[in-house]
Amino acid sequence: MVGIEEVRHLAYLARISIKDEELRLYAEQMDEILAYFNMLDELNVSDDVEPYRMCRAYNEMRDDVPVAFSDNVLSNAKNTKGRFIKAPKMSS
Amino acid sequence: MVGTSRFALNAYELVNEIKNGSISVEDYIASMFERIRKMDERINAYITLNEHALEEARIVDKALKGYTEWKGYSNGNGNGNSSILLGVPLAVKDNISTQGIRTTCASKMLEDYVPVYDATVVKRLKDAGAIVIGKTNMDEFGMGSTTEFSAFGVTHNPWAYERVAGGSSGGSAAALASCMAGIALGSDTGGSVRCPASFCSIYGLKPTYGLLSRYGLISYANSLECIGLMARSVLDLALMLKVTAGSDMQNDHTSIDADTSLSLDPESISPDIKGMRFATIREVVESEGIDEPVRDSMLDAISSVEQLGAIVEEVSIPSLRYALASYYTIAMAEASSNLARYDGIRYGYTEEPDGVAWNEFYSTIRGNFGSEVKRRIMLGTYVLSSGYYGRYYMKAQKARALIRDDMLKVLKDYDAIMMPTMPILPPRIGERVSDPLRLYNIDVCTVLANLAGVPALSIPYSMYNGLPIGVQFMARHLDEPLLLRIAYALESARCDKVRRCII
Amino acid sequence: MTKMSSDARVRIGLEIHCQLTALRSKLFCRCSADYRGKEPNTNVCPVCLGMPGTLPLLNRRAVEYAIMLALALNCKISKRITFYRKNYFYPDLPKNFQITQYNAYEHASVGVDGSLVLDDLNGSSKTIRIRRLQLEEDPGRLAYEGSIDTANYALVDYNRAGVALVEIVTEPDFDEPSEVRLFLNRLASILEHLGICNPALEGAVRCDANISIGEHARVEVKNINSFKDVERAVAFEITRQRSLASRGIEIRGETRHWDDARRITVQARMKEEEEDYRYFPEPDIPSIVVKEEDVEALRARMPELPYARVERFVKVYSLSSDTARILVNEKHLADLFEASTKYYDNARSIANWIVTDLKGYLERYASYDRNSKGDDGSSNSIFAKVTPRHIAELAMLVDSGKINRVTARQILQNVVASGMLPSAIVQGMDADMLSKKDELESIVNRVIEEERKAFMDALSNEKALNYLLGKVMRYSNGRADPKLALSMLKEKVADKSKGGK
Repeated sequence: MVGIEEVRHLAYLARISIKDEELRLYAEQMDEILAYFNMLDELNVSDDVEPYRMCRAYNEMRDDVPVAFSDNVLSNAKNTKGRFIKAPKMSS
Repeated sequence: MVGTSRFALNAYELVNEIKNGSISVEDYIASMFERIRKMDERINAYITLNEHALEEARIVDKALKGYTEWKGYSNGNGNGNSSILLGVPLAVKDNISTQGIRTTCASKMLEDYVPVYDATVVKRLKDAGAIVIGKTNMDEFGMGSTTEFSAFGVTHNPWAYERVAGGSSGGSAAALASCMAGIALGSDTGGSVRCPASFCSIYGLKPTYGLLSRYGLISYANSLECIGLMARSVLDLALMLKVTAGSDMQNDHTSIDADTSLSLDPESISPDIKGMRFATIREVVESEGIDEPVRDSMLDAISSVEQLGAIVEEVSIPSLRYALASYYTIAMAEASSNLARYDGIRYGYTEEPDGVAWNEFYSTIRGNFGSEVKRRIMLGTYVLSSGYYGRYYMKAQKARALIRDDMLKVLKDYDAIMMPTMPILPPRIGERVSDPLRLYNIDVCTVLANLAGVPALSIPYSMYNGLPIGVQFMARHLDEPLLLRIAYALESARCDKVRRCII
Repeated sequence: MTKMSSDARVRIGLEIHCQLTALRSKLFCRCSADYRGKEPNTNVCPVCLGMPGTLPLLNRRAVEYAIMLALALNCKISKRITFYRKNYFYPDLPKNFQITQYNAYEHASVGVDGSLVLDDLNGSSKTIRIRRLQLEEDPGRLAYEGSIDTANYALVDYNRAGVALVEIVTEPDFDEPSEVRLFLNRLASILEHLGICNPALEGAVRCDANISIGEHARVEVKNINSFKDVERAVAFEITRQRSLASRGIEIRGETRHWDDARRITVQARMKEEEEDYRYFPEPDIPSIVVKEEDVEALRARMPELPYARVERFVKVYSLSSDTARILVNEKHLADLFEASTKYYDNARSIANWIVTDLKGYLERYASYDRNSKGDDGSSNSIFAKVTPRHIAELAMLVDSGKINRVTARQILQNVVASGMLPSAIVQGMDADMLSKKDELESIVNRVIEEERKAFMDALSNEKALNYLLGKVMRYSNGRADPKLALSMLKEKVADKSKGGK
């Protein structure tokens, strides 16, 4: 069961602010959806079944050749200081 | 060509008119903008229009008059596709990166984000002469099936304004159906191209996973999603596929190298499906969730293909019962991680970080996601949490492997699997949004192709009380040419019964 | 709580991050791997900045290097190498997840179950088990205006973001801080011999340690910047924990930071709430299927490793295994040794010269720690002047009885200062050693006059003194007694600084 405290914790892990008055609705909806997902639990698969995964041969990777990117990739950054990007400080 | 009928031209027809000089690209694009300005107030297909489209049109016109040689915008890639979509107005879903054109994912989080690069697929289409006309509306980050979860308002169905256009690529489908674009790109994670294609009576192709580069497609659920192709005719679809398909190992290591270009030449697509074997799935046919008109349309489609010489048989795939749970578990898990990067530091919506504690900063900024996105991120966070991974994510990936194996087994015996695209008619706006689980249920037929990575095509098949109904075919990996043949056969047989746009 | 005896077993484990500095591009994009000394955020691209729609592109050579290192550490190579996402929010992490590897659900990391033998532990030997070896991306870097405590925000530089790291995790098999140091030196030698990482570069090798005593909780120590400090930090932590335990105070399982100024460990900032990294396979990077023949092809390409080189030195040059080990422990010493034998074929004599005199000199005069944040490359500049020919000549001169060892050491000092060949220096000395103070005085004065700036620098900087000494040696054609000359220079400097105030 997903309760209000669990939603609060998930919101913390995901760093998403949720208004207190919305917590209950989220809890109810998420609970219903997870109850549906629970059918996966009854699925009986042996350990031999490999989870779905994409594989590649060893040589299908990128060569180690540097190429500089010329465009201004910081053009979308709004909080800057010189060439640095400003970010919030880790709270002490 | 005069009047509005020229907006209804198929892309391959338009290219001919342009090449033989009967249509100037600049005029065409300018008048299409005018049409959009008039019509889009009611439909809301576009989020952003390309300010440079007219400039680009003039470049094409110049090339046509022989002043310069058309080599594509990025100095020509020499792949022989360099003019096959010359001058065709292209609508691009707003989660596909376009250099210099705002790309929002219909989210407040990216409301002013302007990419510094083009998606590979966009680049290839531009090099073939297509002109990006604008960026289309969608469910925020692709999370939805109705285009109601957009920070830029709902897209209305051109066939019935009070109904949804489908989603999440609703804007692209509506733009095509209302002749506000010639061809369109969408993205398909669990049906997001096929659903609106079906609701808007156009073609929507979800290609084999990896056939089209995902570079530039803004990730929602990486292992499931593809850029999808949308058009008003099968030949247009074939042209688009020819231009966009193929390895992009320079940018996307999940792309696959497949030379499908030969079998995709429009001239080589035959409308002959005699002797083909199609499977219908008992679990889908017998599902209670299928609306009566959809079921009737499906039965009619079966008899149509049978009349064209195909054989249709019913098979059973019990593992399909787990498809939606598997699909949504994986999609939400991947989404919760993919969307972590939207934190207001490098791009996108932000606030001043001075003196703000970092966790508070993140939470405040990220509180600007829409409610459906928040819900999916939190659910994805849940299913990946320690202690739950084995119960949800791992199980979902195992279920996915079973479903894929079962589908491939069926596709060994049959050329294609046939089913409705959507189990319901286009719902009224607001009808489904309040109940997430009920909304997820309408993806039951479409998610299968994404789970298995196989190609699937939604074909406009019929109308019920003026509302479009599509039929869907899924084929083996890389068997897009077969899907196009089926669609071409139905298009030829039913040209007088199906309308694919309204003028 | 049980009181513990002071001889309860200490367990130390290491978590070491090595940048693959020999790579030309980053791990998942084509930006240069060489981020050092660049303007902030100029060595970035849409991929390593995590711009929407970009995808990681795995660098094949990074995988090859990691496999080679895993082989050198006797690891089993995973048959299917898979990357995982480690999800957590941090401003230096452009995607707010790190692409790394994770072995909880499968053998995903490049290597597992390896070992490294410490065979020079005062005659005995010991095996340190390697739990896993994995590839991952380095985050960017945070800076602050003023200090972290007074700044109102952080400044991020993503130039380093996406650089390839190999993480090596050992089992807690160390009992002593000295073993830790030995292990790190041995590892550094392997990195150098493989040519995949230059441990002397700032931040190229970083080490965290975990320490526990008896049945008490494990403490992690992070933020240790040099091999010397790892040893110090571990020793400090053992003392701290023993002292707590003997007083019956609970040892908390926590993360502590090494404060290299105060040489103590301090408690790290506490997180507000428990993080949960939510590992899952990176869907944008297909798993890499590694076949036996791929591994064997890489093994064949590997250069000679330290163990083999020690054996060869013993066999081919008849060195004692101790001498051979000391040489091989630092690749440049071993290289210098082998090159010197081309000029003079008494290998043992050359080896002795290097391991006793040269090494002794380096340790005395250069700020010499092979992996230290403050490494200014002074040892490198010494190696630029002391060539194989210098070493060969010195050994030859001593062996021939022309000079004694003490003189030879003075000559080495002279060589380092002037770069002159020992034979030339000896010639000068033979002619007339300038050892009387008044004879040297004029040369010293001349140098101080000509090198006014260096002289002023010498007031605050010892290195400038060495530079001046070099000049004196040159003007005297090597005839000056370096010790005497240095003391005269120091005197002048001392006078000046008194007078200048």
